[in-house]
Amino acid sequence: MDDRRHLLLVEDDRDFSESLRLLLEIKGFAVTRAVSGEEALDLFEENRFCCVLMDIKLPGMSGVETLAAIMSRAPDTRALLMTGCERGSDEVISASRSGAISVLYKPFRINELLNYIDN
Amino acid sequence: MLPLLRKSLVARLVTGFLLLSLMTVAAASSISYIRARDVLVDSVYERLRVAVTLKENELNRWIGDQRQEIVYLAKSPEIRDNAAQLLSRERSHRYFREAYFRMSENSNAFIKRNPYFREISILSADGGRVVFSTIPEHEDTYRPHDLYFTEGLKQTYVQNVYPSPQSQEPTMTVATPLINERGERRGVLAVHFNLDWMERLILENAGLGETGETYLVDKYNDFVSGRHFGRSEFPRGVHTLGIDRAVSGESGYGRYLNYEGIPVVGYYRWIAERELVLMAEMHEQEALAPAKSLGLIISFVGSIISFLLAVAIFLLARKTAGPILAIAETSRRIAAGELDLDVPVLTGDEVGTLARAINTMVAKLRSLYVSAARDEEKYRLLVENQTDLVVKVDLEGRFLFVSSTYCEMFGRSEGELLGNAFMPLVHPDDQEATAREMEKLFVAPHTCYIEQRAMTRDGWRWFAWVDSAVLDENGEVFEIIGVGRDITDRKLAEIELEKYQKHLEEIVEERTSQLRDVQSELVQKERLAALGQLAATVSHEIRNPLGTIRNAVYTIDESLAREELVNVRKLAELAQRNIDRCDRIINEMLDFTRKRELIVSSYNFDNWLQSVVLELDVPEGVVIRKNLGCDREVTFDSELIRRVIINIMSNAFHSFMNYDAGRKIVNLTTKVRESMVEVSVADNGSGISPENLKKIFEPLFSTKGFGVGLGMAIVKNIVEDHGGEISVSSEAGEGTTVTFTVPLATNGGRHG
Repeated sequence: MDDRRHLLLVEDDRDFSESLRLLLEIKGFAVTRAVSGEEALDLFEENRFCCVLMDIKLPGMSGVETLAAIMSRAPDTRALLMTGCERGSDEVISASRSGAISVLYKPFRINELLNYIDN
Repeated sequence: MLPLLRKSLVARLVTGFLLLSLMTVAAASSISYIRARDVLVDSVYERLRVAVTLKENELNRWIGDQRQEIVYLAKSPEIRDNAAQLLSRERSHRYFREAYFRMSENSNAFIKRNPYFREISILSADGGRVVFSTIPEHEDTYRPHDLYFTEGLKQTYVQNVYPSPQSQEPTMTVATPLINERGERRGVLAVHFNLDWMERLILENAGLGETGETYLVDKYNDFVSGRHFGRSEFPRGVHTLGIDRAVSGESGYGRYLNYEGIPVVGYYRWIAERELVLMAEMHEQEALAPAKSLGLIISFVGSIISFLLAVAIFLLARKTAGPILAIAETSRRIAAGELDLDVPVLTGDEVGTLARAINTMVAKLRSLYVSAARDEEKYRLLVENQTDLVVKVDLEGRFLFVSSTYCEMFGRSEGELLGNAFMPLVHPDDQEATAREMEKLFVAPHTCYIEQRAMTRDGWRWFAWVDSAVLDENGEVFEIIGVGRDITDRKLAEIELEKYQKHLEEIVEERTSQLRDVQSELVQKERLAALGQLAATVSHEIRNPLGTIRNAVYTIDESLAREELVNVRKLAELAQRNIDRCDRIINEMLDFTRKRELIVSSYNFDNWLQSVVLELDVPEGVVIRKNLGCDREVTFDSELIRRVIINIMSNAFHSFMNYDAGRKIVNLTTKVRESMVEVSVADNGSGISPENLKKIFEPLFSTKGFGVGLGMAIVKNIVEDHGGEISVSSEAGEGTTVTFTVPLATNGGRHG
């Protein structure tokens, strides 16, 4: 598998996760999915990803915590956080120090996502 | 005099007797006087009648005498012969002159001899010519119509008193015919009388006393005799009751006023043949003098006897009243305060009994007085030395008693206060309340309590009064006793306190109001915050499905463009499902915020519940054990309760997620308890931590990664709207039991 087009998608909303997977696959990406931070960390150990797409609000470990753990192992990881929360909410502020490239506010525009991923 | 009468018994007795006896004497003398007067008047009448009869007789006799004398004269040769010559000869004839001469001599001799004659004249039968008169001026006059001529020619005629044609004085004439030797009536001898004789005749009062008077009045109401002879004094004649009656032909007695206006007793008689009134009168004063003196004597003697009797009565009364007077005098001194005196017991009769009774009374009084003096001293000490104010007033509120403390407090003397009303001293604002409170004195228990201001020596001060009514033997209030105390200091403190209290209340009120404002502001803010949180949660929840839809649509679009339609159906399903999710989330929020009216229907509860369970999307490995005990009709809103069941069951299913419970069992139980259906859902899932359990019914609370967090809040609302209750018990690691009740028959707003 081409690691440069392999994405890790961490999202507890199965439908959102599924729709995003189908979208990214049609755009030529390989997508590995996780529904929790713990699962994501396990997957991150076993695979290499060009980019991590992570929901902030997750059951168990939050997206920010999970990302922090990932960053501590692979500081160069490109990561994008996703959230359904408001701009300026506490969760988003905590995300600013996580090392993510940006935060995408659901329902985000696809082009915005693709711009980040393509870079 | 009058005070003496009122005070002295004896004086009253004597005066009374004197008055009575004097009245008797006065009556006796008056009756005597009246009786004597009547008798006297009768006797006077009799005397007067006798006098009048005597006078009349005398008059008639005298006139008869004169008539005889004249008849005799006419026949005497001296007259007859000379008259024949005078009547038959010419005045110038010698015989005539001789006869005239002799006639004059004879006539004058007659007049001289008989003083009653005034004039002797001879009238010729031929025309009544006066051929001779002793008053020569009358000669050669004619008197053909005079009665004495016409009648005297026929026979001897007395012309009663008449006014003389010559002198107009009353006169009387006797005429007789002169007959010659041949028996021819040649003339008339007329003698005119001096009426002076009548005066002499009549005035001889025959024992008629000092004022007795007899007189003659002619038919022209002129005096013919008496002191008032002639017409000059009474130009229109003299009129008295007696005279007038007599002139009209009556005779009789009477008491009337005489011609001088003096009351007289009179007798009058009309002498028809003489055409004269003969009056006899006596002044009443003289006539009744004996009656008067009789009355006076009786009065005088009676009065003397009365006085003597009065003296006797006085002495007798003194003797009888002596003991009473002694009692009276001693009683007066006892009344004046000499209580050590005793009334003298002088007699053994009723007066003695009275005296002894008085002595007993005085003895009792004495002992009463001593104890009263002792009591008075005691009460005086009590009243004078206490600081409270004591007053007694009558029913009109006038002072009957004031204590010295009261006088001092109000700066007035006892004399100034007694008899005056207390109310004017009371502050005008307190008068009405005082009067109203005092009404209570007239009903049991006849006391009242008053707080009032009054104008004291030092200005307005507050007093507290305890009043009590004094009742008479009939239970009627007749006096009021009040005991008062100056409570100005307390009252002012109270007023001050009240002021502070009021101020405090105002402050509290103000602060409360401020707090209320703040609170309502807070509530408002909280509501806004809650709303904000709800909106945030809702928007957060809705963003995932929206994002899914966007992704799906984008991918479908991309797939269509690339004609890679493998996943299009799946994408469309995703979009479709998430649109439903959005819709559900919005509805859930609306359900929570909007109170829905219940639409009730009846179902066999257990059957209905089974149909709901069949609809559930039961996760793999989960077993539902049913233990149903409500096989009967229940009335409820099936749509809402269905949601409750689904919600609770979903939570139960959810509790098995990411949790290894071994066998995943959900126990669904129904039973009827009292008038309710009790439904309980028990799982052996992950359980709920105690802090989360506390918040389980709070809106927006959620432990799930999805859902608005309104589920249990809405469940609670629905159950409570039905009139049921819901409770949750849980222990981490053991599982959770949710139990709720619904009434067998819910009163719904509508029936579905």
